Amino acid sequence: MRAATLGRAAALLGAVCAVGLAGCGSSDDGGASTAAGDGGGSASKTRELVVTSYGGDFERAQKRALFDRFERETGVRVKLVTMYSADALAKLTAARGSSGIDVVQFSGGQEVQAADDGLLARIDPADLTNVDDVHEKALHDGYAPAFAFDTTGIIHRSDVEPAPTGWASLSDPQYEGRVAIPDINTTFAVQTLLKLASMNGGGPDDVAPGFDALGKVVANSHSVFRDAPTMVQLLSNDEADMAIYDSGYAFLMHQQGIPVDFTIPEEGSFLTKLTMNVVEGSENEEMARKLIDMALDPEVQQSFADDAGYGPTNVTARVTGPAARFVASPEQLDQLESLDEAFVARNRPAWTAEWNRVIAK
Amino acid sequence: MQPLEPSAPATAAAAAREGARRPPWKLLWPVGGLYGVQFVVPLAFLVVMSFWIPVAGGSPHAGFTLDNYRDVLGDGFTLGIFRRTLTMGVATSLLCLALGFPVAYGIVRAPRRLRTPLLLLVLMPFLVSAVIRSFGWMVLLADNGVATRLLRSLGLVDRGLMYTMTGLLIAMTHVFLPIMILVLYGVLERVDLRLEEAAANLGASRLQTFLFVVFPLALPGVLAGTLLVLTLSMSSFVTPAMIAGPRLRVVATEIYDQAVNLINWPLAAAMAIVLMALILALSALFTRVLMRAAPGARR
Repeated sequence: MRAATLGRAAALLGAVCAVGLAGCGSSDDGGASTAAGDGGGSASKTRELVVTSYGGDFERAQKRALFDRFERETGVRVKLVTMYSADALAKLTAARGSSGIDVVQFSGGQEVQAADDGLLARIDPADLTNVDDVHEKALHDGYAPAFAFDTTGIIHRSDVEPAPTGWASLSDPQYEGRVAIPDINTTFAVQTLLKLASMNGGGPDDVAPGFDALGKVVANSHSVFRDAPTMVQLLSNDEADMAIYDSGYAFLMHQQGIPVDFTIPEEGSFLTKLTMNVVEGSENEEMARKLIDMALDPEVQQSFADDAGYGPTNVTARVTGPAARFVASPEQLDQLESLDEAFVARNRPAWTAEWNRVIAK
Repeated sequence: MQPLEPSAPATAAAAAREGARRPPWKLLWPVGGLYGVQFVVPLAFLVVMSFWIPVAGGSPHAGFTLDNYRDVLGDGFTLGIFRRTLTMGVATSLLCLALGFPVAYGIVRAPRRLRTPLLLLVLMPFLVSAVIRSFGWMVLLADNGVATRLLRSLGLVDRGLMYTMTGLLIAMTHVFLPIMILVLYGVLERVDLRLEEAAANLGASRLQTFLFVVFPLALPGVLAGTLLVLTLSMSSFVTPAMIAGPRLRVVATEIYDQAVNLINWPLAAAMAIVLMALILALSALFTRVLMRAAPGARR
């Protein structure tokens, strides 16, 4: 009898402790420890830099252009952790300061939200030797500038006649069932929504017309895809004729032999920044800054642009190879819009909820 | 009259029996402790998180609000997602039962030397992760995939089955079938062959034997297997994410979107708790039915 009551009391106490422990709400779940963890933070002691990466051909191009050269010149090993932008932001937010990551890469504007949330380390432009040659649209006040530009547009199969010309082609009945749209988790979907809004009498503050137009686009679509590999499959298997995505993937598909072309919509399009940022709390800040500085070096910029199909942010770098067809020229750059990322981040939950209702079958 | 006193040896024997029935708490501490840390604490954290306050464009604040549960239970769209998840789970488990029972029975009644190879064949999909299996279905169910072309030639479909409930159910059934087969095999193995022979002796046809002898005896396994597949399929993430797509959402993919893409952990936690409550309720229902349906149970 007594043993049973004692057992029950112990179980209850355990449950209360569990809730109490959880309620103390330490958001610090302590991820992997920093690899070169010997608290001094001085550059000479850093052995390894942990950098997030997107994997695939993007990673290969980055290794060839930047990481291999960095390892050669500094002797510091670059350890790559595969993580897409949204997952990286979620991890940094959860682990706050103890994520084990030194440099985080973002491709969808997450650096603004991350900076506002105190997750990124500030950088003084004077510390970067290449900063003076960086295009003004690549700058992020107080933080690392972008190392590449990404143009949003329509990737379409070369055998589509007539070729799509712009956003209006998405709801054009002659392409019925052959259009692929990115899902709201991507920055391209947000751009699509805002463009459709402004094309139909609305704007960033009045997106309702955008959702109405979106309904027509979805009715005309083949499917909504969540990630780039799915999009590549749709186009290469001839299940879809066109998809909204970026210049980098258009170049990648072209290099893989998939017969695609890239069109910047005639109604105007968007610029997205690819950024590398130093994580707040990293013990290897100085080395991380060196890596970012090297990413802005004209030679590295040119090599990466030629290999990956993303535009350089250093104005002295020139794209010469087959990628030149896909990368935005300086003149085109001037005409591309940039999203107000903080505005987008604030409105994302509401837009996501409405987007899901509009696309639901 | 003096009250009858039990003799000393009898009392000692009774005490020994009592001791034998007490659970060996000391042996359970290591696993229990591990379980507590790895399961109970995170679960408690989830419950606490479901009451926190989400911030658009930032990370959630500690606090207390019932808004998250209101958003889940009071929103028609979200409830529709729960309804779809439940439908998918029930359909998957029924399909697995219908397809798995004959296979399990076939293996049990097969010649002894064939049993192990057949079981290995059933287990082989487990050697490959759910991601790979789902990816395989993506290829088969595509517009010009093998499965689609086959069904199209039979006149059953005209478009691809990707991003449809039908395609999703096909893939889900394939993923969870081995589990159902293994559970049913375990139960059917204990059904005495002599009972079936006796029924045949008494003039029952094979169908009658199945309906009135085999199936009732296997009922506990049927319910256990169905409940297991129901639970697993309702909380399944990979297969719906890859096959159903963004236009056909289920609870697991919705939780992922809220937690990772929108950093809305409170809402994601609330959804997770509601899903868990739903599954626990279904488990309780199943267990009750199981208690009443098991042969030999008192009426």
